[in-house]
Parts: sequence; structure tokens; C-alpha cells
Amino acid sequence: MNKYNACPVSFDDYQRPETPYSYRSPIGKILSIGATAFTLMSAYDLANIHEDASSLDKKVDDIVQCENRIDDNIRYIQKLMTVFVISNNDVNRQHLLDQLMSFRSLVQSWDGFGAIPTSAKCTAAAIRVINGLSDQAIEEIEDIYPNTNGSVSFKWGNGLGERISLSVGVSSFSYYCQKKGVGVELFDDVQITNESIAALNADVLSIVIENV
Amino acid sequence: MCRLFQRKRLAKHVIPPEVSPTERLLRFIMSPLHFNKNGELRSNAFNPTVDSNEISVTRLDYSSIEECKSLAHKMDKIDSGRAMRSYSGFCLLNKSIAMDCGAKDVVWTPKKENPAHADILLEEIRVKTNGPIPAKIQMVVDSLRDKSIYFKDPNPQSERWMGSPIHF
Repeated sequence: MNKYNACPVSFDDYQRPETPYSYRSPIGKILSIGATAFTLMSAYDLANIHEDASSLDKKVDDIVQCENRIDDNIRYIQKLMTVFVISNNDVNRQHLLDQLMSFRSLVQSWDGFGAIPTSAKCTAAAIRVINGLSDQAIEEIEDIYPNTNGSVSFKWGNGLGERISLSVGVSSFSYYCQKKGVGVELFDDVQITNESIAALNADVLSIVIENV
Repeated sequence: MCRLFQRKRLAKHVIPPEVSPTERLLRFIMSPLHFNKNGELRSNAFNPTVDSNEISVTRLDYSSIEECKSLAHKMDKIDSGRAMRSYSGFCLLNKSIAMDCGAKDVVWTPKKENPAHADILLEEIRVKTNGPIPAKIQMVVDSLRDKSIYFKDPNPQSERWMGSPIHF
């Protein structure tokens, strides 16, 4: 007993239903060809649709990529604008740089006691310190001036009599930090690095934030 | 009579080698470099001479204010008609104040052009060319600026002193 035996009607018994047109008749052939052509055309259309769909997908992908790029650009522009706003607000920083550059025009013995003009290397070191300080530390600078030995001094203070006095040389800086309740801390010949500028910045903020 | 006046004048220039704690010492102040944008005196008015630990002053009790003015004017520097450095007044202090500020000593160091010249000596730390000013010296210098009294000359071009009397 094969598995088809379970079927109440065997294949042999199956009678093909009467069709209106026999396959072998000319009309049937025409209809058959037409159907095939139609099927082929449909298949072609379907393929085209698939192609269109895939190209649409590609286009969608392109659009998404463009959008991502636009988002990236917007983020970049926002970043640029942030930088621009900071630097635009920070006229003090530019003013400081202008002041620094003006020290370069000092002549030999500018104080009448043999003072030497601020060297290019000292100016560069001072610019590095300025660039490393936070905006608040820059805004709170009370004074900047040249020293007789060619170094550059920066001053910070507050209403409590606390102060920081910084002198920047060619490759190092020295400063003292005078704080009430803490006393005076001296820092001599500190090499100019990002870390040392950050530490200086923290000391300056500890003074000027009291002032705010 | 003439001899008497001459003796008096010479006696004025007999300068004791020891600088007393209370005698008046003058530091020459020049503009614009010794003033900030608010017209306040900067500490660099008391910066030590390059490669040294000395701050020049004049012993006013053994000189005269007119002599000091004359010396200060010799330091004026005019470049292209613009005053790069011009005498503006004096800062008054004494040895006692200088020592309170952290100076090591004040010694008489006469010079040919200024017999009453003295030096405020700082710690044995020399201020190196193009190096940062040591923190300790910055402290002393700031303190000298804070504790000295600035006398602005109302008429710097005049040979005579026309400002308020220079005393504590």
C-alpha cells in the first residue's frame, strides 16, 4: 500500500476537468502564447519593479547617507560656532596677545637700568600659557607686563587680598599663590607642559572663583 | 660766610655707610612702563637689575629731591618724538619696610653720578636673563610695591619738586 492509497481518489481515477478550450486548439495556442507572453511581460515588469525597488533602496540609502553627512556637517558647524562664540566672547585673549606682541617692541635698557626686551621665545612661551588657561582665568587677569630680565608677568587677585603672581620665562614659569587660611605656596622653575598649565589654571580658578 | 655754606653743603654729602632703618629711600618711577591700564603702579617698578639680586634706590636724606629729579631725567628715553620712558615720580620706602617685605639688607653702594645710591638686596637668588623671576623675589617685589608710597610729580619737566612733601 503506497502512501497515496489513503487518498480516496487515485491519480488514475482523476478526471481532468473539461476546459472551454483544448490546449491543442489554435485558439488555445494563441491564448497559451498570450498567457505566456503576458507572464513574461509581467515577469519583465516585475524584474523592472525589483530593479526599480533596488535602485530606490539605493537612493534611500544615498539619502540616508546624505542626511548623515548633513548631520555630521551640522555637528561640525555647531562645533565651529561654539569655538567661534568662545573666541568671539573672549576679546580678552586677543587683547592679551596684542599686549604680549607689543612687548616685542621694547628696546635695550627700556627701564634705564639695563633691562632687556622680551625675547621671541619668552613671547611664545607666554602665548602657550595663555592658550592653556581657561576663559575664566584669562578674563580675570589683572595685569600683564614685561620684566627687566625679559620674562613676562601675569597677575590675578581678588577682593580678599588673595593673589597669584606668575612669571613666564623661555621654557619654564614660576609663581606664588597667596591664599587666606592656606598661606603662600611657591612654585619655581616649573617646566611649561599641558599638565603644569592645568595645575596653574586650577590655582588661578581657586582665587578668582572666590572673587565672582 | 661763603666757606660756612660750602662746609654745610659738603656736610650734607658726608654719607654714613650704614643705612638706618628709618631713613628715606627713593625709587625712580617711569611711565608708561611702570603703570597698568588703570594708572596703578606695577610691581616691575621694583624689579631687580638683570642678572643680579639688587634693587637700586637713592638715600634721600643724603641727597636732594632736585638731584634725584635730575638723575631720573637722565633715564628718560624719547624715540621718534614719543616718550618711551619718562620720569613720573618717586616711590618712598625705608630699610625697615624693605626688610619687612623680605629683603635681605639695604646697603650703601655709592656711584660717581649718584653718591647716595643704595641697593636693596634680595635673597641669594639671581634673576636670570629670559628665565622666570623666582617666586620668592616676585613676593618681595609685590610687597615693596604694596608698602611703598608713590609720589607723583605734578610737574615732571620742572627742575624743582612741586609735589607734596616726601615723607611718611
